[in-house]
Amino acid sequence: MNAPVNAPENQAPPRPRTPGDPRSALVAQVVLAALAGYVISQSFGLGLWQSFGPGAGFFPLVLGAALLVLSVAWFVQSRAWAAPAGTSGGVDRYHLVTVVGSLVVLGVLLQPLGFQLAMFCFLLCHLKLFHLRRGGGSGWITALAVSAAGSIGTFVLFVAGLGVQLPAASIPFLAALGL
Amino acid sequence: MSMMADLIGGFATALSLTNLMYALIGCVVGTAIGVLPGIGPVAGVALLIPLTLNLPPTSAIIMLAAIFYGSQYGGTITSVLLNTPGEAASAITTIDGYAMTKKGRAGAALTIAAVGSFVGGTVATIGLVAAAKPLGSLGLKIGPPEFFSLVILGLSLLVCLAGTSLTKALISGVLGLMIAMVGIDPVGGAPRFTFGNEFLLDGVSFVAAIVGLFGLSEILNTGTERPGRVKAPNLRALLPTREEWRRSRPAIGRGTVLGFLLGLIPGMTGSVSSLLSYGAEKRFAKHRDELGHGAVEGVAGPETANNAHANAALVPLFTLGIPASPTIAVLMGAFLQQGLTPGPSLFTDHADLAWGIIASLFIGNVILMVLNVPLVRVWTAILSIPPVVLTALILVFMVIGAYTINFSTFDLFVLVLFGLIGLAMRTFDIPLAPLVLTLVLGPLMERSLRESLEISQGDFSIFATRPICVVLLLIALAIACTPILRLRRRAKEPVQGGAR
Amino acid sequence: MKRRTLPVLAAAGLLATGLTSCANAVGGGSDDAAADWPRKGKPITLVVAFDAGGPADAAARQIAPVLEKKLGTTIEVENKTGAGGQVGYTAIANARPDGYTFGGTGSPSVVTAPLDPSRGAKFTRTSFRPLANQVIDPQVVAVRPGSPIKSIKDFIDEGKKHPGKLRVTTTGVQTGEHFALVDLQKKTGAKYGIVHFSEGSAQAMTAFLGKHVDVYVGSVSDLVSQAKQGDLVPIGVMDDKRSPFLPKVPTFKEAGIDITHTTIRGYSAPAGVPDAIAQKMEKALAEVIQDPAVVKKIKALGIEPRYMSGKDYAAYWKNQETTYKKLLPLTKEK
Repeated sequence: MNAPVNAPENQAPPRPRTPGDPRSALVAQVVLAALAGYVISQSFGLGLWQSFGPGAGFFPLVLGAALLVLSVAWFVQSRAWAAPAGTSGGVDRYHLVTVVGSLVVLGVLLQPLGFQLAMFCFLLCHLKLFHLRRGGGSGWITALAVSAAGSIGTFVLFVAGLGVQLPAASIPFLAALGL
Repeated sequence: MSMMADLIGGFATALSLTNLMYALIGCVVGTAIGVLPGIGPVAGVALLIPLTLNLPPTSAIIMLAAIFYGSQYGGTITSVLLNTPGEAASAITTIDGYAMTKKGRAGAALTIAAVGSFVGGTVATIGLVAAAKPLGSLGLKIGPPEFFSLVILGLSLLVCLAGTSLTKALISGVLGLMIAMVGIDPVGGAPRFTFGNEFLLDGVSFVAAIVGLFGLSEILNTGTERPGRVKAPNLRALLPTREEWRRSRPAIGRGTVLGFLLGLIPGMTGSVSSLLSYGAEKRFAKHRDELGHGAVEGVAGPETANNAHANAALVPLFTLGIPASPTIAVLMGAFLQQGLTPGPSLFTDHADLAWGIIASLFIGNVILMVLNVPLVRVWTAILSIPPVVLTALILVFMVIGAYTINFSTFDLFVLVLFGLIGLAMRTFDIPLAPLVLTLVLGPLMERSLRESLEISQGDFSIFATRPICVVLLLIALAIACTPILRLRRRAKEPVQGGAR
Repeated sequence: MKRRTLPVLAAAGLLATGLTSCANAVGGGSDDAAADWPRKGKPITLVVAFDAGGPADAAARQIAPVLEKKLGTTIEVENKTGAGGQVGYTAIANARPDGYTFGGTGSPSVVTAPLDPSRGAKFTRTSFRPLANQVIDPQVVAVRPGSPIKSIKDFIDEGKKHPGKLRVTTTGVQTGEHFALVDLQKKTGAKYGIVHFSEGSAQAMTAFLGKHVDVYVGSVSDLVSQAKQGDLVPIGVMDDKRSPFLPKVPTFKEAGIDITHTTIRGYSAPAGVPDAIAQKMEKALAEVIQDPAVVKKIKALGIEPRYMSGKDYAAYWKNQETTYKKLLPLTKEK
């Protein structure tokens, strides 16, 4: 079986986690601070105090302030650490994009194409398409079989067997086909 | 005493071959429901009620109750093996449960979970039998102010989940609280942070969030190779070692007490019990530093608490006719449809039926354990599916699970978003547990605060004048202060070269 | 030449199939559609806006099998939950009005959602065509046994003598109980300390039985069990007539206060459904809802069956909307 090319962390023994590359940590800290700012700005409009106690905006204000303070604290603390020599392997970017991307596309196509067709394509991609260049995927027969079972099989199981309605296709042409 | 006689009579009813069979079917179906995404215990029990209407009342209730706590265990199986919480209460088990799987100890985790659940459930049922009425009254003493104090206590356990960096744990906790603020606020009934989106009016879907946070982020993090893939485990690897049993005992004990007490309080969900049990383990377990990396206490405690909670939650139903949770409300509907009124009158009007049900609770717990321990081998065989296929199937699971929350693709996007958030948190070493803790407790806190203040008409001293509140709040304060003491102690030690 | 005609014919065939299936799917509006409604094998979707297992869902799942037999086609119950019913109601209102989708509509949720602009509801009362009402669950006021309040009059007097002192429960802001109390306060001048238990009636009941609040206000079905066991004493019902489950409890009307607040649950189709189809649906629902077996099961849940025809249901709904519109500003002041 071919091992994925750029995944050194899978061969290395489990080691203590490093705090993460300080530069990307800075991005995270800025994002958190921005989120905190947004929440604080919205909280005033929600009403801070009501006749009996905290209004709808009270806790958001407190939380926003807390988050702001904490992101600054994190920033200060992470500068105190020495930048780790050789950052952790990082996330497999290709894998990240394919998984997230395919899920988003699936979400968009679920209603128009219907569960069976959309899921079939999704599974086929995950079992075969995404591995065409890097290797490590399943063989064609396995891929097709599992895709069919995972899409049409589960559809029948849930809809007919359990009464849980999974989306059927909304494009009339496909609906007429029984999808 | 006549109660013993009644109970023995109840066993006679419950041990009839037909009723045993129904209990068995219930456990199997319940476990299946817990394992499968898309059907939580509530929907599962609800969908099966019509099937039970043709059965005699005792058998029907026995089967439904078995389905009820069978589904708790089903959720554990997916948490431990696939890092995908089947339902809310098993969320916290994913942390150490899946870590144990990665170390090749999946069988041990599942076995201990089954045994712990049995212990917790049985003790809770004994409590139900022995002291139902006083326990019911105890549950009633917890009004909104006490509830609030209890929730604050739970939140204070956040500092115990801190690990190395208190700042990061607090960030996680604050994020959880913020996410909990999305939705209709309990004060004015107006939408808050919903961006005009209808699906956010109920708040962020909890199941989608935690499945994304734990399950999806793990998939994104490790890539297509699953480290520690288990190859056809032999029998010895399936069973816990003596060391693991020894360490589980105190955790099971703590979990039982915690789950049982919290189960008596309507409004405290099972996930609160398992969360607080995890926090308690972090605070009191001998090997607490291993928690998060596959410590058996992280499975034993929460699972026991969960099951103790589920069984104890029947106390308000039997003593007061109050359903403590949505699942029990459905069960109560089943009672009503069979023409039975749940409450103390059940024991006078339909004594043999009531005791039959109680006896079947004991038996159900036994069946669950007897059923699932041998099946551990079957479940762990799932791990020998080639990783690529397994990951793909898990993704299908997650998609179905997310979609069927509200039958909308919106929750699918919530799943993806939380997967990314979880990934970011893992990258920066921000712990996930505090977020879950605050996400669960946040709404409870705001609601109970509001209710308390409406009762006191705005007077905050209500928290200082009620004895239970004072006690709980002081304990919360004590717990919250422990890291400050620890920090000060650490600051006084000489700094070790470079490492922090 | 022959080689090219075959694919052209095939393409034409496909196109024709596609177009006809499109035409069939669009359908509706013509008499042919009404005449052969419901088509055998084409399922009808029954949308339930609340969770499986709840009273709305239970009622729907009880009529579904009976309705299936009557109409001769499958009924698929779909739970579209969220936002206090708003998600499900939106789905019903926006569904194609061809008679193959309808759903359970319950008030006050379906009535109040469009009245509050901040909720962003994508429907109004006129987005629906009410078909039939199934059950009614009036608001009821209850006290603990041994309470000094023994009647509606005592309750009102206490609210006037010590305004804001009596703690009464609701199941949340702008719920049926909230509107009922606000209306009562307006009509009598009494004032109560309202405590909202947004988690639901179980929480309210717990707090009430635990003596943390004084008076329980909720639906009759909430407290039938407890009333039977003597854990509480209902003192007044807000309906036109007494509840069959609480025959000894007077209505507020009998006490001289003209106030009616009920939860009703029925079924509606999206507005624009052809009259012929709607009439068929109404007729089928009328028979099913009043079927004795169904009625018996509903009663077992503590809910009072009360059939209303589509027209009556629509009138009741309009009435409720007028009342709630008037009361809405009162529920917002705090």
